[in-house]
Amino acid sequence: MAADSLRTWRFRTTGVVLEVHDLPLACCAVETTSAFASRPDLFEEVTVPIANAIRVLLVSGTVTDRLLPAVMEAARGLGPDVKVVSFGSCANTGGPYWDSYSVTKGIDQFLPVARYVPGCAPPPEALVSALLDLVGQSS
Amino acid sequence: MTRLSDVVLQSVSGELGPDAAVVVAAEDWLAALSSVKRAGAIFFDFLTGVDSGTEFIQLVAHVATPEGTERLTLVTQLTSSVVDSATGIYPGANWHERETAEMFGVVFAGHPRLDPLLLGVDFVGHPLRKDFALAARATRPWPGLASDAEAAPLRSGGRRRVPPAGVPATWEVPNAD
Repeated sequence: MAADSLRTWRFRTTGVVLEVHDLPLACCAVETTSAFASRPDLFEEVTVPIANAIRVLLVSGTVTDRLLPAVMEAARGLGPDVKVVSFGSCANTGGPYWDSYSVTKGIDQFLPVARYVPGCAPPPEALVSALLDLVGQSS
Repeated sequence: MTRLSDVVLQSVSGELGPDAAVVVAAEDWLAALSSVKRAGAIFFDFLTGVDSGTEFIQLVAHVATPEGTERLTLVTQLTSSVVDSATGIYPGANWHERETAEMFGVVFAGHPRLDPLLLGVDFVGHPLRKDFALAARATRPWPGLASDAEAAPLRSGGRRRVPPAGVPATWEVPNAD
């Protein structure tokens, strides 16, 4: 999965611009998509890279061992400074699939995670809070 | 109209099990599938395995007439880990047999390409078998308890710790205390 094939959103808040690459793997996608759609004041979809933006890889949903290489490729494609946001219990720890033979037990075993968003699923507002927190602002 | 189950019972020895499943001997597996297909069950729905704790796996296949007016479940208890592939009768069995092979360790002789379908090529074991150890359960307690207080009574009293389901009794299970 190439990073440029992910839907990408510009998240603009006071003085800071984030380039958020959405990597939704399961039902958490309903919540992240809702966040993008419900806050047009913050999110705008973009198709070209944003100059001087902080790049964010938003991993949400269940990461399986078979899919892990694609997630890693997406992260590599965004460069060494990419901030990973792990959204939801599955991406955080494996969640309800904590004992599964096929589920990766937390993306942080393979990628440094900048912000964890707990919940199964977290509400859309939790994504906004996490992104604001990432840039040192409160929601 | 002859029922599909009657067709099987006339062509091979078998018995009508619960839920209109016909149970046939392992050596009659392909003959049974072949006879119901000739009788009109040209729609192959699925094939999978069942591990009931017996030495070898059970196979289950479900077929139907294209109109859906008749459906039939065929069951067989294998007597070895090898069985002839049904792909010569139902090409649609191809992926189902690949999945049953990787998940249950059944070898389908004559299958055109018995590679893993869902698991990686380096995956060790057959995860839907009862004897497949779920490593996560052996290394940490079930995380679903609401609080430590709820978990505490389970650990007290000096009772022998019973390994969770999916963990062999011979494995050492660390105490969560």
